[in-house]
Amino acid sequence: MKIAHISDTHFPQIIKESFDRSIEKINNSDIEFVIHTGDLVDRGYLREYEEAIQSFSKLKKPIIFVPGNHDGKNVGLKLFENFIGPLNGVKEGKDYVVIYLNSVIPDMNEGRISNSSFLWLKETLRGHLDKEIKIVCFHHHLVPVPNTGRERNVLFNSGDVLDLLLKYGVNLVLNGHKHYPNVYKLEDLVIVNAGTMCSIKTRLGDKNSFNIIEIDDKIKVKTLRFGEIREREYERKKERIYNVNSEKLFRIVQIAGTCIDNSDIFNKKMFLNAFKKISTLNPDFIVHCGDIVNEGLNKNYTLAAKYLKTPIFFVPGPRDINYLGYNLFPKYFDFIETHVTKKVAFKFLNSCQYDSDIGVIGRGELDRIKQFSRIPSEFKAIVLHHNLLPIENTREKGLLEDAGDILYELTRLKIDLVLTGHSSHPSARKIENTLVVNANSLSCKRQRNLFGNSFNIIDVYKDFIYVSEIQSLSGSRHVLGIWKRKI
Amino acid sequence: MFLDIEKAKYPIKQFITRGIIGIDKNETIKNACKKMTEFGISSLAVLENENIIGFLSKKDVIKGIAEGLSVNAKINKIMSKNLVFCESSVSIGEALEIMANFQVRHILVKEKEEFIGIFSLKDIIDLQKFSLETQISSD
Repeated sequence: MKIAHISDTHFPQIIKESFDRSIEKINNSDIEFVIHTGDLVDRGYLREYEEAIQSFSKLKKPIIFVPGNHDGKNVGLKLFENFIGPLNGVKEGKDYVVIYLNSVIPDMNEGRISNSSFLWLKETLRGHLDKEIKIVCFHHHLVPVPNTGRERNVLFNSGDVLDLLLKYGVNLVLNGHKHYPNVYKLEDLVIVNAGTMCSIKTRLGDKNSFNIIEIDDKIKVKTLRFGEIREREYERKKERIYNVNSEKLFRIVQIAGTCIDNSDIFNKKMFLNAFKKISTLNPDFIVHCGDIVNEGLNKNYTLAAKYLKTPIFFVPGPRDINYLGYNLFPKYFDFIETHVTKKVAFKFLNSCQYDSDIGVIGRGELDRIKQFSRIPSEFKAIVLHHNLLPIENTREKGLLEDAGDILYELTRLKIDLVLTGHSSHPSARKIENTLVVNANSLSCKRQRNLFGNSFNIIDVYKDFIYVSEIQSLSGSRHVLGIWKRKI
Repeated sequence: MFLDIEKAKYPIKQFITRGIIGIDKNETIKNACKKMTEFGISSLAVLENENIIGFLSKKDVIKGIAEGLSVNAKINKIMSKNLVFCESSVSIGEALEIMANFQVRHILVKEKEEFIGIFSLKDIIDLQKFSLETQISSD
């Protein structure tokens, strides 16, 4: 099947030439139908809707419109329903299903798949399990997009939505919102963001663009920016069988959120049991992804230094540097920037800002990451506290402020592994060639995992990476996943 | 505490870890045990030219040893040659029924003619166990 993916037209603020050329191109192509991922109009006004509908009458292909945050301004969603139709819906073909849904919170730029829409999506996916191709569309971006500035408005519940789409084997997600075209493959899911087709609101001086997507054994995304075409192609099938005869290279134990203090937030029993288990696991490296202490106070650091005598690489979390922690962290724990061995090179990043939960890496550090990527080591790992990808059971607030740009660079530089430790929920997802693993809190009572406090072990073999979660109290092991290494 | 009826209706694809860990058919029982311990799992797919030709569970190993086989015997002597599998779209309830009919604790999961993962009784038990442990550790 072949479809066109357009977005963010923002009537009436359009460049007419871009609109006409795009429509002409689509009309003269062999695509089956068009999906518009939101922001049809700019302010949600009646006249804007009238003008947009009138302009789209030139299109000779069927089209699905998805509401965007701009369509919902000034009670615009009512007009959207009147002019276009339902906010959520399904288009079904012989082999495919397209599920489109509303992610708009009226008069806000941020998005959310509401509880009822989430349940509807789940039921609809369950009802279409037999479809070869499953496509889901909504306006707000599911994962951070590069070149779009401050990353604070992915869907509030993007972690849960991503988890649902992966569990039900969705092949393709189409988003708009950020006016910048981008494509990622996350596990088996291809995530496509469209640029703006005809609006004056481009980013980075970027040109207007839209996507043509072809799906057969592969998913091919062609971004047509006037005068330039970008193409990405992904295999739909993934290797599933892993032979245990692969040589084991090293083992990393990844911990986070020990949250040591004298209060009952710190679960001492969990901590002691977890470290008893770690001592039997023979790790080559132990990495602490932050939130060592519950608050950055002297008494907590003194206690933490007593408990954490095993050699560990540390990066700070926001709890470590608040109050006096900014000065205490380097006094009690060594923070090194890199650790390089023949088999693996680590780069440790401080992503914390004083008295803020929001993380940032910044341009200077990004330059140092680029230098690090040139180290001639077989395997490269980046360690930081804040999340690069949305995590299930959490609101998106744990993401780095500049997650879009950092994620893009880390995947482009083909960093093998990224270890993070925010949000108190374990997660392991491969995006492009980079595996991103988040650790749950090891011994903090404030955690979000049904399985209880835990830490991760990451076994790197010659051919694959095997990640498991170990329950802090009992040492029970739960496999998070297995991924082929890039060759 | 225990698997509720509603969850039993969910498709099995939602609960499996995608990826199958396999071992060559000419490996010894001892080596298979080592690998099960190393990976923290209780079964292995048995491979010939990277294709699954059999299935080996802890139960097969115990039975083989009890019957007098040496730990250096090859795993193809004790593996189950009849592969028990289900489609990824079946519900947990349906998968459990197939497992009960064949009296096995693991089931291979297939999607579009390819094996994509394994579902085991341990997956359900783990969920219950972890919840229980969380309650124990709450004081």
